Amino acid sequence: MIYTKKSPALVIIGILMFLWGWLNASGSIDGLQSALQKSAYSDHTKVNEKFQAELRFANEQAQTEGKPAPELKKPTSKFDKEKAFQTKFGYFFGSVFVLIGLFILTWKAKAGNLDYYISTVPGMALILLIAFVVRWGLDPMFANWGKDVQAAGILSWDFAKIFNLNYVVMGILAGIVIVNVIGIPAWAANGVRTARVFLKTGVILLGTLYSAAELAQLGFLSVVMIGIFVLGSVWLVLLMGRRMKCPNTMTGVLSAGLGVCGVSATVAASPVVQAKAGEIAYTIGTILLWGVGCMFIFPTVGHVLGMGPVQFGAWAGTGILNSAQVAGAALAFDPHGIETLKVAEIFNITRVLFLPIIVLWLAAWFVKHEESAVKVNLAEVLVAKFPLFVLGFIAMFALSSTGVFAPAGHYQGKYFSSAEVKEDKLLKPKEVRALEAELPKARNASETKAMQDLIANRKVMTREEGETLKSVAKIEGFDAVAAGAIANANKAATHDSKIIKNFRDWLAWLFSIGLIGLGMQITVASIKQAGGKPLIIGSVVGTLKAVGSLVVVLMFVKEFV
Amino acid sequence: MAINDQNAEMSMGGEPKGGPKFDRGHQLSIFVRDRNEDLTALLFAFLIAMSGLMFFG
Amino acid sequence: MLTANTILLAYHGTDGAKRAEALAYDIISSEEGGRIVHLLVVPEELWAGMQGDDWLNNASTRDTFGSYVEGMLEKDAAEQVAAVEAHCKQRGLAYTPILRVGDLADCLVAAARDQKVDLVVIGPPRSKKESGLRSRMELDTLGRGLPVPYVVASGE
Repeated sequence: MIYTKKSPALVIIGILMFLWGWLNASGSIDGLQSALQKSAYSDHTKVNEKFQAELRFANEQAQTEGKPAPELKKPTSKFDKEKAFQTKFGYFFGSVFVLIGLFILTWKAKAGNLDYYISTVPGMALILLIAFVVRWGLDPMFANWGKDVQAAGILSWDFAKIFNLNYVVMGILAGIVIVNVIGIPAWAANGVRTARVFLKTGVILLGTLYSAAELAQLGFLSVVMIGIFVLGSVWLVLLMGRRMKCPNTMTGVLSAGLGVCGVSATVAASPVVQAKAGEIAYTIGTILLWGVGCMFIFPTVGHVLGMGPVQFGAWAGTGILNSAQVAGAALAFDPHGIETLKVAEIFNITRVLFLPIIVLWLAAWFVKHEESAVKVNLAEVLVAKFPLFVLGFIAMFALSSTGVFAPAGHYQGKYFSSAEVKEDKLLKPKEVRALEAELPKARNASETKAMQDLIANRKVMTREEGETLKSVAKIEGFDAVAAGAIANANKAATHDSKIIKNFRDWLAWLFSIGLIGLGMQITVASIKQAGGKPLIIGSVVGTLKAVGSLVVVLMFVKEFV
Repeated sequence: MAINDQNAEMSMGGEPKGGPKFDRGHQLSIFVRDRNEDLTALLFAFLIAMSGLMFFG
Repeated sequence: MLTANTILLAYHGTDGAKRAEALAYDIISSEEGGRIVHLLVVPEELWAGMQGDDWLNNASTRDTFGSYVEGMLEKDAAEQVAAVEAHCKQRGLAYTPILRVGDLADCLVAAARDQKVDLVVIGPPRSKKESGLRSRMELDTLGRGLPVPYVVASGE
């Protein structure tokens, strides 16, 4: 079978991306960009004004001294950086897609691996195009609307924020809308289906971002919570299924789907419990319906309750039936950081590690209750069902614990370094004087020492001293200028870890592309199959799980990361 | 049961005749099989990690 | 009374389809040369979405599931074909099965044209009380696309 479809679509997508890059580079869409990137643009204006003033001053000075006008380098603003980033992305992917697109148009496809892999490119390009539009267009547009509507007094709350209309949610929605309204074009079908590979890539790469202590804490929490809720719901479904006189095959597939990780568990367990076609359809429909619903409800509830990343990640990771929507909800809750995603994905991984166990349990249960059942081989199931990408995650974590990517302590994306404080970030004489005046207020030797070091070096010397100084600044009646100096000094000594920051950015892209691709797998035709006893059991178990895990999280889980 | 190749062919989406035949094992083709999905993900992740090291490490 | 030599019967083993089958035998001319063309469509839109948004599993697990579902649908189709073929044999009618993956109405229109049938017989839409997969025949597509009349079996 030939997978590659001859179509100019990829070339067109490539040209569009290239064009966007060029428009950004040439500055012809600055007006549009300044409306979209409001805060970055106001930063840009400030930077510009400051630069112009400095330039004027330097020129005047040069004139009075009779020297030629000096050349000053214009600093780059956030706005410039954003535009440069979009330009780079547009140029890179634009040219790659145009080249591959031209290859597709001229190449006579032969069945084989080259054909298969080439056929995935157009679909992935389509998803990337959607990701561009959503992230650079719709996301800022809705954020601006939400603020404007609130400012105009039409609503007393920011609808874009409360409904989490950010790039993640809108990307998934765009995927669902496209597949159900216009359908996936034939040239894109294979690539769209393959896009889930980016989610696996994302999770593997996520392994670089945990410290051992963090992973141990999260791992323990997730094993306890997932253990209770997965085993509890599997047991509950088996019980309800018997009571409601469902066939064993239906009860089996439902308990896996509703208990462990939704569609994935259904897919893994169906052949084992020999589920009938119709039963699979009901189960998948029910889970997709619940999953999509939860993805919208959870983040909103999380914001209303003021949950932190660990609490929300734990809740979403336990309470949402379908694993794809766990990642979606975590990113929807916190689209510009990945703290919540980090927590939620640990829960996802724990769930998928429970999957082989549950499959074995169901196999044993099915053999006991059904004469026609075929016995399964324990080792075979464990090996086949153990997810390879989790091994990748573990390997990546092990690799990063050796410190190749970033020294320990950089995993939060920020780290402390006194040596790297830049010259112009040292404390100003005025700030030093203010600190000297406040020196007698220190309450003990270590506080005195920390302040003396700060005054002598004009920067914070160690992380510990930084912490001590923070508490000094909180002393009642402490001078505001001195307190500001301490804050500035601490800020100057805290640096972004470049590599970790980049990993975080790339992760956000990988997940958003993967999630758009998954959104395109959710068809109304399959959701419509939700019904009958599976819908009843699903609603009961889904509600119990969502509410139960919320209560447990609110009562027992504290923020600790 | 006599379903021969000529009158009982299966084809995707109403394609003309000549699609996969019906009575030879699993030839009803609805789902496309993935090729090396997991290995590709591993490869991508390590490539990204390594390029991160190269450019920003 | 309406008669026809070659009837295209859409049959998927549901109650409605059984009524359609009975109606087809009523209508078909008892003289020689009667032929039933049995169309069985696996609704692609519905089944293609059945792997849903699974991504946690190894690709091999998903493939096992895919083969399992395809095998099951195939077995089910073979049973339907065997049943109708047996009934036709009893009545001395020629029998042609056509199996398709795709949209119900599109496949029906295509089959009616290919096989040069005289009449198409389909079952009624399932009553709301009955449970079953949700996938309906687009009657608009049928009405516009069919070169021959179609008859819908009664719902009662």
